[in-house]
Amino acid sequence: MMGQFYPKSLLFKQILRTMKLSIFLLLFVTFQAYSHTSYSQSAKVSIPHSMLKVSDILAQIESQTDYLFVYNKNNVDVHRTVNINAKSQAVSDILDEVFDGTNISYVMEGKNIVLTKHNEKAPEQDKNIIVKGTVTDKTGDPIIGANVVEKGTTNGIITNMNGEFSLNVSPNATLIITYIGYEKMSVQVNGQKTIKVQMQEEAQTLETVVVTAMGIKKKAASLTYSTQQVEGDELTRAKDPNMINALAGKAAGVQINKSSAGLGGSVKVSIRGSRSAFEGGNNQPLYVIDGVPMLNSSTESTSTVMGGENDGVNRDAGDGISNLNPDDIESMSILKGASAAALYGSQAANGVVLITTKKGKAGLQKVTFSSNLTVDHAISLPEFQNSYGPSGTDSWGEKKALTDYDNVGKFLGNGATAINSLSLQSGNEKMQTYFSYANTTAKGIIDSNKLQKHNITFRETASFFNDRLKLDGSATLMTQKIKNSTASGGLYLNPLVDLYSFPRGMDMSEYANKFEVADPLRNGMPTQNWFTQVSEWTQNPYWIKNRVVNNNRRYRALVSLSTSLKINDWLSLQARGNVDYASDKFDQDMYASTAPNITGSYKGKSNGRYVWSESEQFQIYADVMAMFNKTWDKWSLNGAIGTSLNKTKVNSLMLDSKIASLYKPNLFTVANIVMNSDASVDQTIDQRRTLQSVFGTAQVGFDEALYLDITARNDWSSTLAHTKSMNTGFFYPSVGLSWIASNSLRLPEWISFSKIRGSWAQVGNDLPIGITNLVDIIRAGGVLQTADSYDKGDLKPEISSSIEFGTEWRFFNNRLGIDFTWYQTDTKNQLLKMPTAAGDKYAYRYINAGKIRNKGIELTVDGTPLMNESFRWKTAANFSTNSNKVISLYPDYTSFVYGDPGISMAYLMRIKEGGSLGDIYGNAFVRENGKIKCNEDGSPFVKTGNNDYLGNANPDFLLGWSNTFTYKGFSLYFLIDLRAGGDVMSLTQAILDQAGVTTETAQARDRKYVEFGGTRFDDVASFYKSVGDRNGISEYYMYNATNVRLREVSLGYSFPQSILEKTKVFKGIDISLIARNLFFLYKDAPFDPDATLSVGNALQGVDVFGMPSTRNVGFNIKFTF
Amino acid sequence: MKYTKYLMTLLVGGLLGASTACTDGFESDNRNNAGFDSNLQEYDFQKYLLKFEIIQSGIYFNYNWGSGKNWPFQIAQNLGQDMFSGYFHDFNQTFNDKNSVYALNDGWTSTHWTYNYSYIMPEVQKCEQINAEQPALLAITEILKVELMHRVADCYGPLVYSKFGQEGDNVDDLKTAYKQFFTDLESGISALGNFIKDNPGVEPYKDADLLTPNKTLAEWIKFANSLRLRLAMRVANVDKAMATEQAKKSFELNKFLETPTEVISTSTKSGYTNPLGEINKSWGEVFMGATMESVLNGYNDPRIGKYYEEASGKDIVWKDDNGVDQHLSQRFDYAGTYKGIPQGTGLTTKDNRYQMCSRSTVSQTTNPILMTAAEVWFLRAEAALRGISSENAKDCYEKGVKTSFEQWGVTGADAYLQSNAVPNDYKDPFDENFDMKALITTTPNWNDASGIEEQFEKIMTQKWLAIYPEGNEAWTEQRRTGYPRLFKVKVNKSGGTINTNIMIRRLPFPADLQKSNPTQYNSLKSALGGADNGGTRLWWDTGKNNL
Repeated sequence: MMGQFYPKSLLFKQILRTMKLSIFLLLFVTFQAYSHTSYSQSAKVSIPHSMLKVSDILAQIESQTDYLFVYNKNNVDVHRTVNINAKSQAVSDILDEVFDGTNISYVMEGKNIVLTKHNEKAPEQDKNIIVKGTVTDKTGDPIIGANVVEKGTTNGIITNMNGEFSLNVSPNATLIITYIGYEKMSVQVNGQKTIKVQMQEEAQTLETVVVTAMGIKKKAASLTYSTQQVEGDELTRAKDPNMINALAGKAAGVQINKSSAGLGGSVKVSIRGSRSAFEGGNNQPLYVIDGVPMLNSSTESTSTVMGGENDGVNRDAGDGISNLNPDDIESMSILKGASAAALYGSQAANGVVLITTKKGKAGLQKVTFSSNLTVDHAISLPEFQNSYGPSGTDSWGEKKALTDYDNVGKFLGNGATAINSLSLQSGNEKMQTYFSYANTTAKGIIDSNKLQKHNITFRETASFFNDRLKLDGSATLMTQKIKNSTASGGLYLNPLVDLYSFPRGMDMSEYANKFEVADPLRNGMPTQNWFTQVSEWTQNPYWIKNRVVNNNRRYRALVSLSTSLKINDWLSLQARGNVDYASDKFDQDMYASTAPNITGSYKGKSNGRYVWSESEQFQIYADVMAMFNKTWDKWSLNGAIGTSLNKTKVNSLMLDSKIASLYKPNLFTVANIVMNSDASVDQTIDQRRTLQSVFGTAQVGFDEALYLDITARNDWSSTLAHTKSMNTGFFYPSVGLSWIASNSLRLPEWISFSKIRGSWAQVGNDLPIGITNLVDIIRAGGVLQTADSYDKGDLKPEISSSIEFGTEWRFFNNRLGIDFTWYQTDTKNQLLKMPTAAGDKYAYRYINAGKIRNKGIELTVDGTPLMNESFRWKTAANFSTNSNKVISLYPDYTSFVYGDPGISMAYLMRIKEGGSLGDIYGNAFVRENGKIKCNEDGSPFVKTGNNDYLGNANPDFLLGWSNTFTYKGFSLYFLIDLRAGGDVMSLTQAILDQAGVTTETAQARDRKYVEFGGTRFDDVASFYKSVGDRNGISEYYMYNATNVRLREVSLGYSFPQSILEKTKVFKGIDISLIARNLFFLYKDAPFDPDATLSVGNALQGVDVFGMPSTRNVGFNIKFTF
Repeated sequence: MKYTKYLMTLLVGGLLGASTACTDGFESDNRNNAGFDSNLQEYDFQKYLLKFEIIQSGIYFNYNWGSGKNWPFQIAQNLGQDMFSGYFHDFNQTFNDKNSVYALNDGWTSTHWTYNYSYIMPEVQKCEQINAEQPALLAITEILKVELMHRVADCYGPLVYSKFGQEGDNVDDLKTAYKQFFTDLESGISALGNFIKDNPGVEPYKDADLLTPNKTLAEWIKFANSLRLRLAMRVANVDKAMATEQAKKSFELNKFLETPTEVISTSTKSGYTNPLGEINKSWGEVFMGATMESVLNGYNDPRIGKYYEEASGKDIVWKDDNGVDQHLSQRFDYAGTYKGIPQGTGLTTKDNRYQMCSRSTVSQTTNPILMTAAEVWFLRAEAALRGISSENAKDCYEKGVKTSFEQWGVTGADAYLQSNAVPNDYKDPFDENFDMKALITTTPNWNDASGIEEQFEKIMTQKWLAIYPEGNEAWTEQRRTGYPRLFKVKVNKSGGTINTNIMIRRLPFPADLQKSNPTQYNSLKSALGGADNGGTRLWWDTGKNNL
């Protein structure tokens, strides 16, 4: 089918054509719609003459209009039958008819129609006063349509667009204020003329509408799979420069690992375990903002245990998601399983995070200013001894009382992060505006590390032609500057290496102040001053801090436009497009006399090293969808069909003098680079990826109790060029079924809701760009580098087939809820880059093979154990397990090394049939007849080669437990987070033990022996010199990764309206004390096992001088005007 | 609803239109626009010669496959063979607890194997295919293949050679590999001979030649024929028949590297740089080995200043906890002398006390030597001693020494060849525990009266001095013959797999093979016929010289 319509056309033309066509379609139907005079101001509905249940009528209205009904089932009898006959009648007329003679009233608020119950009696009027008031929610947002009733009467009113009301009552009356989803309030009038009411949310709102794949809204109750909603305030309660960190512990099945890279680093988000055995593969979820996928590539970070690529550039300046302003986020919806994400096809293998951003609201004008300041302090540092002094450069000397100079404490100071943000929301029924500005300024625990970020967002939504045409446009601009981003780990150019291993009892301050000294042989050029010979393994930390400096700059613009057009009662069209542009600049200056292995020399002189890099990423996305929604009797059908186009283009250039050095010392310009074959030029020219898709989804509902969900998508991806699958593309189906038992069975009163669901889906993981078409390249200096891998033209995307079952229950009027999911995902066609054995024609071969299975359960429990007029305790716990197993790999190829093994490191990851992703291998003690084999001098024999299985980095289960206590204006929130099981290795400890600086070695020396595995070693020093260091016996350095921490705490206070009113300025003031990562309740490893050296697939479960995790304590203050 | 029809038509049409996903552009989307593709490689006949750049950079390994240069050589040769040969030792004490004390570090010892098989041998095979119709270029490919792979074979033993590129069991035992080396050399030599005869004056390899001084095919014949003699002598102790047969072929052809300028070395004039030079000059990690110091000083060898720099030795100073300078005092003033580093001290602190010993003179632009005429004279001396040739062993020996002196631009060879000097004992500058008595007692002068074994020791000791700094060949010949008698390690952490006195015999196969390809590993191990550790002797390593 391809090619006939647009033979040989360029993609850009296609986009234009797609856009033209969409616009034409939109204009055409708009015109049609507008010229159709029979439409009146409010939506009209036709229902054939029949006896219908109230619920069916509501469903009919919902299906023919945009309206959704919101009501409390306990108050509205939806099983009552009504005789109805409506021919193109206004909704309000129908509702008047349906609820005539009942105690139900309704109010239309936006797309929602709220049904509430009131008393029938007519209001009495005598000697009354007029009370004016405002009803707001706890954040100060006005509540529109709240019911305000004088107690014991039928005298009442509904609040207006500003949440205001005015009611004629007796001076001693009590006002009862109710609103769906909120706790009932009663307020004594006591002669007051004005009243401010702040309502508290009910334990659980009913009938919530959630955003699902492609931005399609569905009733939460109808979903056939598990999703998790995270409200925007979860991200802003205790802010982190990378907002996704705030998700840690809050969602079942979602594991968050922060990169150990200091300020602005990336985050590894792993949903339901890792699936891809391809080292360079993608294990991160797809991020979608308001229905449109966004760029989320991370910058180069630690790639081996040694350090970064090119032995130098070891930085992590964040990922795409870290660019967003958390204050802009309305909510997030995490599509965990394949079923939820199936509509994203080949981008969906790792789950999807849907982000809904804020927009202006009709009838609301609000200005919010919030300020968040935290102080960051390093925790989980190694433990140092102070009883054995230096011997040479190690600390294996005489025992004596040493002065503790706290060299580490002096180097690592307190960091600080300040995030200030301002947002404006305003709008009327036709147009709504949202504007925000946020500014993040941070200083790292190494004071040269600084971050500055500005975010500006502008969003305008508008509706035309009686709400038939809606336009929604937004623009987000971001600039970020990170100075001196620190190494996220590794041994090269990492100040922590020598900071930690510096001999005990010696004072580093001399080398702090004089980290450089004038070299008379070079006419006073400052050169590195260190207590021992400088090498790649040992450099002055203050030199690294001050003379190995870098600058990361990022500019990003995200512009999107969405239009939707309602064609008739059941059909609407939508077209969306966005452009996402990111530009990164990076440069790094390494001054002359930085370790020669890293910076090289020119004519025998160390002249420094300069790295310059610039990259541009550009993504354009467009989709067109037709959405339909129809109800017949008990049946409902809604769905969409559409097509999308996603195209990315990358240009980049990195110039690095590496060891070719510079012509002139300390002049950091590109022209000064000795551009010979020792230098490095890495250029990407117009690297493109195109993904074209058609997709469709349909949901059939029966009697509001049974739902069948089907989705289908076919993707054509340019990365499949040169394979057999290029023209057919790949098809990704899903099917799911859910049954809301509580809507079809008569269950006991105390069961408020019950549902059972099941689904099956297939999603994919595209190929990386260019691997089907590898070519030779020319490197710096004109030298040839040939392609070292091949495939046989049969590569396919990875396919994950997933099956999940779940059930949801709510009890006691929604005070307790349980959500349980079991899933199993089999990922086939694993893309493997097999290192070939001696004798093969290439170093590597790409194949699709193997099967990796992830299965697990997720359990969420939430409840409101205590609740009365002034006090409330809400609690929620989430629990998840995931077990990963490599079922098969390849007939002749059942084991291979995962990731760059690095050189001479007692750590690697290996994938093996029967094993699992995350298996850690290293050097174990050699045992003969159960005894540890030793050398002649009694030290344990070290066998290198990393052939011994030592553990697995994945946790057995994760548990997050959050609690919120509210008392009057106060609220206390805390989150405890448990990660149980899994193993981690600390090469940091191994290296420090060998240097003799750790408490452990001092205790062993005091004890005069070390005992391990039943063998006693009497020569403590030779023991640690054997097991320690980076290629010793790493079995000794395995730790249980289990840890329990107080992840997040906040204690807040909202000023009462009575005080705010006097200010006449503020609508709300909220202040809170916040803390993240406050302390560990339990931890075995000598570092934070949740921090990760790399957000990629490799290097999991190992620490090599990663930046320590930080405790963040501070406050948050928010003013609403 | 008459519009519905229109709408549906438009809608379906629109959706289809938008999704007429032309996959036509996909192939151009998915290409590397910065690539050097096969069309561009056609110009100027580049494709025939391109692979030679990589192959020649891969012998004395400094090919950058994308992970940088120099460090692969450091771990694949400099921290192994170069040290075991007695030529060099790293000053860096954080390396001292590994290969230096026989605690063989798989991350280093495996790489000579891995890099060759991953990046160089595949290029050799491609080169054979591309040049299948180019007899001269194919011949050179064969010669390069032998030069490349015998260096691997001599470290590990069994390997993949004759059945490279074949699936299934493709392992050769060392004897089979040597037979194939000889076959490949023979075919290369005869093809070149024929080509020169048929195409006089045509030099198709000139532009790609990084190894011969004048870039002529005639030199390639000399190199290949000399290489044949090298390999023939290699098997002399174990298979005299094979050695004799092949050596005789060499003598029949009688084209050898003979004059001091006939040095086969990788040219650093183009993109290739000497990795040892970078490690030495820039990283400052290439220092004189203790045995070299003992012999060169003891013999008063004038080449010493060409090979090494004088030590800058002084006390090692650091500050103690009271801020007072502490000294690791030198036992004697060794500044201005030549001072080597002993292997096997096991010192691991960071005081790096040997950082002021004698460094190598090799720089990034020094052409790394693969074979010299002097070596060939010593091979001829051995052949004579073994009675394989009719030449005079003493003449060849003395020509070897003189050629080497001339090659290095020093004089005094005649006096040197009369000298009765013996190597010095080693004195450690800091710690008397590392002092060692010289094990070598033989002298530079040839003595017809001394036994054949001692004459052989002289040949091998002088060859060792002459083929500096190619540690791979020096270590191999030392293992084969036991000469020169190197200093033994003080600390042995091999866990009993390597005997201190017998010394290290080979490098273990990459440990990862045991897991990732057990079939191949087991095949290699059975071809080895012994434990896969550093203590097992290779096929040609018989433990005695069957002269």
